[in-house]
Amino acid sequence: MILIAPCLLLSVAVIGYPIFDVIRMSLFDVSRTGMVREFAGLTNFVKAFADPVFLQAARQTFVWTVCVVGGTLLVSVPIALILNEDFYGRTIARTIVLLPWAISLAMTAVVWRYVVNGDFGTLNMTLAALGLPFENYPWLADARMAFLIEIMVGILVSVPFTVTILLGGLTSIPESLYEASAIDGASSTKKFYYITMPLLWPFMQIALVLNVIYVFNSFPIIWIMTNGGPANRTDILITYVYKQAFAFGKLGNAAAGSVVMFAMLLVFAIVYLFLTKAQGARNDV
Amino acid sequence: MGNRFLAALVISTATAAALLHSGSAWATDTVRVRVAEYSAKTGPFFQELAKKFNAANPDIEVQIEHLPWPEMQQQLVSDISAGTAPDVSHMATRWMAGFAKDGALAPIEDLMSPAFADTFVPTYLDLQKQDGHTWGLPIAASARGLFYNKKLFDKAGIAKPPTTWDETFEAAKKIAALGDGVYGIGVQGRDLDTEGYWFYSLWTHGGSILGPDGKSGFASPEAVLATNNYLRMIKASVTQPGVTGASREDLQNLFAAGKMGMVLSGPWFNAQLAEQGKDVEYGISRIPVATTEATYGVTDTIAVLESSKVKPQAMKFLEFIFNKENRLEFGKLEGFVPVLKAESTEPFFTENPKMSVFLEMGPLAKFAPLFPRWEEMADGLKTELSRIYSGEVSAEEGLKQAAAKMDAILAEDE
Repeated sequence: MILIAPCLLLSVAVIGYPIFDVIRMSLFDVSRTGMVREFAGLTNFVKAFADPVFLQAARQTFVWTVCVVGGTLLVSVPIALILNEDFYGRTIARTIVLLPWAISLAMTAVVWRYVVNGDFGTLNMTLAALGLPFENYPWLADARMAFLIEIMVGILVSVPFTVTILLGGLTSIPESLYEASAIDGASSTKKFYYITMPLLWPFMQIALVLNVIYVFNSFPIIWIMTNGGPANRTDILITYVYKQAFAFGKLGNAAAGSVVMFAMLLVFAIVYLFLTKAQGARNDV
Repeated sequence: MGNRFLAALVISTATAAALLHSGSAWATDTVRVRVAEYSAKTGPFFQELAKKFNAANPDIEVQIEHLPWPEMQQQLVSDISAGTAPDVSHMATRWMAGFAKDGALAPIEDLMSPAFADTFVPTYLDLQKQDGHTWGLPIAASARGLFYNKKLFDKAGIAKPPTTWDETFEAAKKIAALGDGVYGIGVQGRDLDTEGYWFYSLWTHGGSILGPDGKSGFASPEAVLATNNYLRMIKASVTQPGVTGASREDLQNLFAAGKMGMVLSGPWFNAQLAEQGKDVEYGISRIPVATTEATYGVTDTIAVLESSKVKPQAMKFLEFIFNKENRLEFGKLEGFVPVLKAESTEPFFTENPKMSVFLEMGPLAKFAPLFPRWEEMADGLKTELSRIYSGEVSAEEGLKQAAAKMDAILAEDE
């Protein structure tokens, strides 16, 4: 205990202080320069929940998280299965899948913003070259289309991490199980449903929870591609909070929004801990 | 929020390092000056000025930090709250009101040398005043005008640039009819200055941001007319497609590529066109009018922070950068409208057709109000404009919402 005390203290200071500061700011009237004035009770929270844009952003955060995380898992499982097969050039394929991870999120978003640009983007150029009527289609002008594109970019950047986790899971499934089932005459579909899926499930759970935490809080894609617009239709909580703090100087409101987000994520974090703990216990048996 | 903490940590480490570094020459007063980059040349320009100033004033050491515009506001907020703000900082004039109200800025009227304030064009310096104090100096000023592509005008058979909005609409129709992916006129629908693009129409239709009753003028009959003015162009497809997805840069890029007949913009656009639009032959004329002639004037401010311990030294540097010679060089470099009386008569501005319109329109300029919570009001307006331009709501309905939001903020602040 004495030996880990300094470590513990440091973690509490580094992790705990910002959380403490945000909670404190959320309960006070804070000037735009961060001066904490009088105690405001729950005023900041009441204001946040009374703001239709906050509620709208919360709904959109839900859609964003579910779509990106769900889409990521749907895309990642087949990719992981393919990459787990032994084929010529597998190392190259694995590297390519992991590449988006190596590029900063902000850069990816900037590139995609250019790609979908109506007049100069490569997407429209390609579509027009194929003879489709998309010479100058403004992809980001329509909120639904813009959000859809952002979700797809979100999926793209979440795939590498998820594939890595799933590949780890697949490697841990003993080959002997497949051999035994082959002797019993199981088809490959059955192998997938009765061996691969159940044994991969714990890893998918972890990928799910970790992705939820990352995606929920993911700022750069939306900020760079649409800035939350048109008409706040692509705002999620994190972009809402950022605008409150740094564009409007309402640090108290922003802090309240952050605390709400923190509470939501805390729930996910607890779920994650619970899942990993249950898993550890199972392995012990 | 974690971000803020991190930023504070990084800055304080950097400051500590800077302090240690300057320890060797402890007799000098260090003045940290932060400027925002209008172009890649802004930072080096001020660094050069600081070098000259430091050489002439051995007891003061000015250090220049330069940041891109989009980071300025967030960085300044973080630094002020962390107590690591620079002594002098550049900012948008519309942020100044909020910072001044929160006590982050130092009033400078008593720091200035007696005749210094009189060297400024009054309109621009007056804009830096509030509650009886001067909170900064107008480091940049711009007015706006109508940029038009001469070749496209010729092709479409338009003899001269339009002076009224009706003429503008007709011209835009003719240019759009040329086909070939060419658009008549740009209308901005997202990001920085979307509201500004709407003000051109608002003011020239006789509207105002704040009505005579002290309430929002966003939903006035003039404002509705002004909005319908753009709407008719959008509906007739003489603008670029997807107005709600087009930022100021998008419009400027289209114009620079020769794909747009007209766009409303400011003097900085000359610099971009000189680099990226070499083939575009263009002219600049006054903003089209419905009832009243007007333009959108914008200034940026450079202010001394209240937390500074070297205010007189900071002021000395400010007076140095605002002498005629240095200002003229800056004006030529970045293409801004003169803020000093002495600059206004320079041939560079008066005889240059790409600058003179902005100079002429200076006296007609109207400005965004200096409310501490203006950004929020403008954002509410932007949201509604986006809904109106996309055809989701009518101009009346959307503007009513925007006005209600502005009035609610005004009422809350009283």
